[in-house]
Amino acid sequence: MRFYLSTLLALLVHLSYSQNFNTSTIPKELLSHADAVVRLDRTDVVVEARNRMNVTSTRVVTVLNENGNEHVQAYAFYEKNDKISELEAIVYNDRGEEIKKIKKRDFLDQSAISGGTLYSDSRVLVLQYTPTQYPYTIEFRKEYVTPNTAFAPNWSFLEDYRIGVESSEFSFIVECGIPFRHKELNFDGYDIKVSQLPNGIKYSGQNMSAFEREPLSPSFQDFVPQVKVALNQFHLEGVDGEAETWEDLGKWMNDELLYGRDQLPEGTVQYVQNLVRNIDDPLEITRKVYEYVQENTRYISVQLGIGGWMPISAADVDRVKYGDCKGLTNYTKALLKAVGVESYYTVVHAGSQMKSLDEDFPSMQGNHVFLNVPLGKEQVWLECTSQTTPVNHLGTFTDNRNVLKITPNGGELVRTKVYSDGENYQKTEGEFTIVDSKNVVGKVKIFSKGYQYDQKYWRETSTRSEQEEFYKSYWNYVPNLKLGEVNFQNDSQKIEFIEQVDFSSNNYLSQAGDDLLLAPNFSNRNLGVPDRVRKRKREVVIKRGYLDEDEFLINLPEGYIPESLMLPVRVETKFGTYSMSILPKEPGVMLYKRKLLVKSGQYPKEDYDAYRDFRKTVARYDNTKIILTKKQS
Amino acid sequence: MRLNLTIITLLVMQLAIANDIKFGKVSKEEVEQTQHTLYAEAKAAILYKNEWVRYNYQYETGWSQIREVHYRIKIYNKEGFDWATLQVPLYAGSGNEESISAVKGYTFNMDNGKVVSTKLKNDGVFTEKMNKYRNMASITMPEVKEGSVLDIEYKLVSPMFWNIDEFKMQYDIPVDEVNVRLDVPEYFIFKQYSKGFHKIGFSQTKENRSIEIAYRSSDEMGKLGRTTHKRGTLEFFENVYHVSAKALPALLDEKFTNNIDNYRTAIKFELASTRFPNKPFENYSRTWEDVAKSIYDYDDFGSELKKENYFDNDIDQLIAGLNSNTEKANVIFEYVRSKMNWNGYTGVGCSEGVKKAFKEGTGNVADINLMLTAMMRYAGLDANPVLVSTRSHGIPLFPTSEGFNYVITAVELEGTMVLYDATEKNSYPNVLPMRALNWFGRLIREDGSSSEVNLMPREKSQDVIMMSVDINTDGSISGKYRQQYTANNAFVFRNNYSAGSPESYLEGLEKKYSNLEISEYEIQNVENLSKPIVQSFSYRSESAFDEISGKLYLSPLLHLATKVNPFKAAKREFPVDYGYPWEDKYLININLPEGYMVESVPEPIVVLLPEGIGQFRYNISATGNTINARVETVFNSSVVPAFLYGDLKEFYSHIVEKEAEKIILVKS
Repeated sequence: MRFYLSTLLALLVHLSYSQNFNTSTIPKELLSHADAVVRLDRTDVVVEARNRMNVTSTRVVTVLNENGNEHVQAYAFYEKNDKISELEAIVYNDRGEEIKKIKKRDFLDQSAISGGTLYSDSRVLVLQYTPTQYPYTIEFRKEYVTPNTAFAPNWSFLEDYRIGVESSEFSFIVECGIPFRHKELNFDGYDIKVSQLPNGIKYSGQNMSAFEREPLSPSFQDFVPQVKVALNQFHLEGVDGEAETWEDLGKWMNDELLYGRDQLPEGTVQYVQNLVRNIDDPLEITRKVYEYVQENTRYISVQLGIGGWMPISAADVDRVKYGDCKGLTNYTKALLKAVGVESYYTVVHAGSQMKSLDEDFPSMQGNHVFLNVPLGKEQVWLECTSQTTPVNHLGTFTDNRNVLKITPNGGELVRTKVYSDGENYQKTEGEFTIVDSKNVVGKVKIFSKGYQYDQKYWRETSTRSEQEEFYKSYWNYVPNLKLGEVNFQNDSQKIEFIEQVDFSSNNYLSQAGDDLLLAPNFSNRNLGVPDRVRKRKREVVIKRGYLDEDEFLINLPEGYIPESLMLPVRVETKFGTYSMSILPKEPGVMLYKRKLLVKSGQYPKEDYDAYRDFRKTVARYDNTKIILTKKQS
Repeated sequence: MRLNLTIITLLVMQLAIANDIKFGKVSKEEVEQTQHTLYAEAKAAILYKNEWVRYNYQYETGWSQIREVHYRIKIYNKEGFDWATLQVPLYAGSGNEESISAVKGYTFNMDNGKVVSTKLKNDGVFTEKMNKYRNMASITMPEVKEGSVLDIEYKLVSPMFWNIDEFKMQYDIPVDEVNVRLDVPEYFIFKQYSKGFHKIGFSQTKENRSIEIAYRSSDEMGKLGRTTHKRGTLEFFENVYHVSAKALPALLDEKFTNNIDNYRTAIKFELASTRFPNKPFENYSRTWEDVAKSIYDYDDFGSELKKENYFDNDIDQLIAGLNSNTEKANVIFEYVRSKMNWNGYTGVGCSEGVKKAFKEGTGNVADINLMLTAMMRYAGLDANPVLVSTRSHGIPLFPTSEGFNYVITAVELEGTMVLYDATEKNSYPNVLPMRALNWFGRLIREDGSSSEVNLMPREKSQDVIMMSVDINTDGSISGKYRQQYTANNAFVFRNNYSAGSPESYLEGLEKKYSNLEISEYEIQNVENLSKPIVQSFSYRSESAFDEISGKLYLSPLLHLATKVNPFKAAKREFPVDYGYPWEDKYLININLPEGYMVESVPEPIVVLLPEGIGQFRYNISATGNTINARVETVFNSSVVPAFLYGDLKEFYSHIVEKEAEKIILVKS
């Protein structure tokens, strides 16, 4: 889907009055933690007709250092039917004196193709400028007209980390009388003026300090001030639309973008019907059809005009056996229909950030589509762009968020599955034998499910050298690791993955005088401690929790005994629990047990250090060593 | 005679095999195959690749080059699906646009024991204008699944008859067989250069050819004001080259490799001369001397180098009162480096021209460093430009002007040559950016003569850390840390440091050492490039050692210990390339807590790499209540050849092992 363009289109411009761009006038507080300061970012949108929107913008950015260059953002994306009437950049030195002017014809015109897309007619004009001094200021003006009013620009007063904002102004005016909606988010604590205009609305905000990145932070969009706007009647690449609710919007998508695109050649219909002939269970039928799609298609993205939003027809996908998310989802839907299983094309904002479609602001949102198959009470989900994702496995890509299910009766916002902390489970069992007093030979079996399955199942098809690389970095605390036999079992029905790995390590034990030091956690050390933050500013978010359990049998070297026994450890915090014990099982054999539960949740910012302490404790115990001394003979 | 006969037979056989493979005719075995016979891990393979390059002549447009390409690709599994899409870059410069045509394709699959095919249609072929200079043709095949065999054919027409793109024989998937045929009219004489570790078969024959030429003639004094259409035949012979290779493994990148393309098996035909009837013989064949000379003769090189009037007053002022050449050189370098800003473009010729670049303060590498050379010459110094091929540009196979894409400045000072590159704000005499540290450069003198220059830094880049640590009875340690970077290490540090604000650097440092609570941070010589970077801070760390049954165990290197061997792969094909020689030196002083004494310290060791390439020295001693450790890792050479990889890996495993060893302290 090309929905992501909407955010890029939001970076626009306007005529400016005579301004003072002297760097020294920037308020001090805006310079702190900033690589650049937006002096003025102003966009005025005028909707002249349902299919004509004029966008004028002026953006003035002072770049303080090299890292700030990325914030200039002097570019203009455009589609075939857009017209860019003005494009100009003026460069000022730190005293605010003009040093260079760059006209539209000197912008580099190039394909706006993005990763994974084979062809697209989106293009972009990019400013090419080599800074000759820091700080410097660029004033960038842009004016364009687009027929695609379905994507009314949204406005972010703060657009990224490490950039302060002196002045940010946005107006949205509808001259043609179409009703529009707007929603303000996270305005609290900001000086943003809202003015109602006779046929529109205007916002203006001043002096907003830069944000610093923090680990385990809420998503940037969840705490910065922004405005969303949407027209109730709109236009998209030749197609008119009308919607005020998610239901309407879904209905429009169904009628205008999906309807009639699920026709299949008779031969294919018969083929899939044959495929499921002797199956009664609708879940099994779904599985069979999905497997057919996985085995016979691949992901290729081609975006042309309305094709950026409308799937290529099921018949075309059937012929070439490739498509993008829209094409492959629609194709799977058509195949399921041919065997009597109803399914729904579903719009989602995919990605590990768990971004939901905004329940109370229906508009074009999301960046991906997948398929919903309601089977009785259960919602089954199919990721049609993947050749390997099991039936109903959402993983971190589409879990726990609001998505828009498109039915012939209209759209329906539904929530996808939440993985509980315990469901994201890994169990490692191992047996390790110490040979020649310092070396280790071991066997482990790692069982994974939930999102831990997500992180691993792709390994099934890895080559030996990829396995070498992977395990040597996963167990990078094991010196001189030699990988032995590796076996994988991927149970895609139960969505469980098992790795069986043999390995050996030379000099795993270290010498300390006459004693040996042995770290009993051979194969699941969780050593990651989140970065220190001097003054935590935002709440702590653990998006997904997990549970690890470990059990290792350790055969001690001949002639050595553990010097003294460690007491079992149990740590309980609000963020999770950790327990670990190492006990003799029989002469010469020790049993190591470990359990780590990290809970998902939101915690106040004051808890950050406590969470770090918890992870430090885990890291310390996971690195624990025991001393083996020579038996007195 | 017998010998000749054998050669001919061989050639005929080879041709016979080549002719065996026809577009659109695949064998059942090929489609049924489930894994590669030699390389079972291959996700896909090129079963066959054929390229035929020939020439065409038209009266209006002159010579053009036609390249017909046939790929037969086998997809073994889903990871190989990327190979179901071919992308062909097309040059699109003014007047020299390459075009693609006659794209044909079939996908073959097994269906109930039979081979079935699906034809590529137009909707699988795209040509996109990427930018002013480049178009991209994409071909994506239908009905692709695991096991599919793809036959793809296309024709590329190029007006640039003088340039034949390299024939690549190796990719990131195995290549079973590749054949190249090249038909070159007698008027063009090409030389061949091959590279890579795999055998390439080569043969050459002659064939006659005639071309029918239609042309319009409006001569006869134009009396009738009418053009007549005429026909003629051009008779000539052609040199026909056959190049082939078989069973080539995938070419896969490895860490610490310079440019993987340097090792790719490939052959390049380079135009050596032209010999047209009624025209003088033109020789393009060159030595590196010739190449340097011809670059020197470019308008955007030699003439730019001669311009002085745009800077003469500035330089006069700058060097007034300076006596030594070294001072003059450094002052001028400093001037250009701070005034000029590199726009990121490489090239041996100026893009803006030195005057405009000087005025605007930006330019490509030639604008900047030719300006620097010119100013130094103006100041009476023995300065010359040095042509360089950057790392990403690779190592040229043969003397060609395309072999260089970068230029720096060399100055003879007190009998030694000093290299300068003013494109980077933090570069320093003899400290060049990594991109320029590649192979040899070529120095061109004012008379056009030239000689080879070794670009490898002689001086080792140092990282010297001094630490003094107190072990506290509460289980923490407090330390003082002082670190010094020289040469390229300092260059890299300064680039990172000056890209952002000092405050964000410090935050990054705290994140990097997140177990250390850092205070009293100080940094020196960020701007003073003639001195090493010195950063120092105090720190406290809570869990730097273990207490087990009343004894304290700690690694003398503390957080500096190398915990992981950077070399994990069992074997290696290509040399390890660090870019410059280096030396890490740690001097650590540990003060024992009250009431403790040393039970044991690790044994000192020395580990040497063969051929004096590198060494690791670990020295430790305890006196009274202090422990002194001195640990040094030195690489005298920036490159470690692949055959010493085993030694290098073992070298590092000794380092990891030794640095993991602990000091044991007991209550006294």
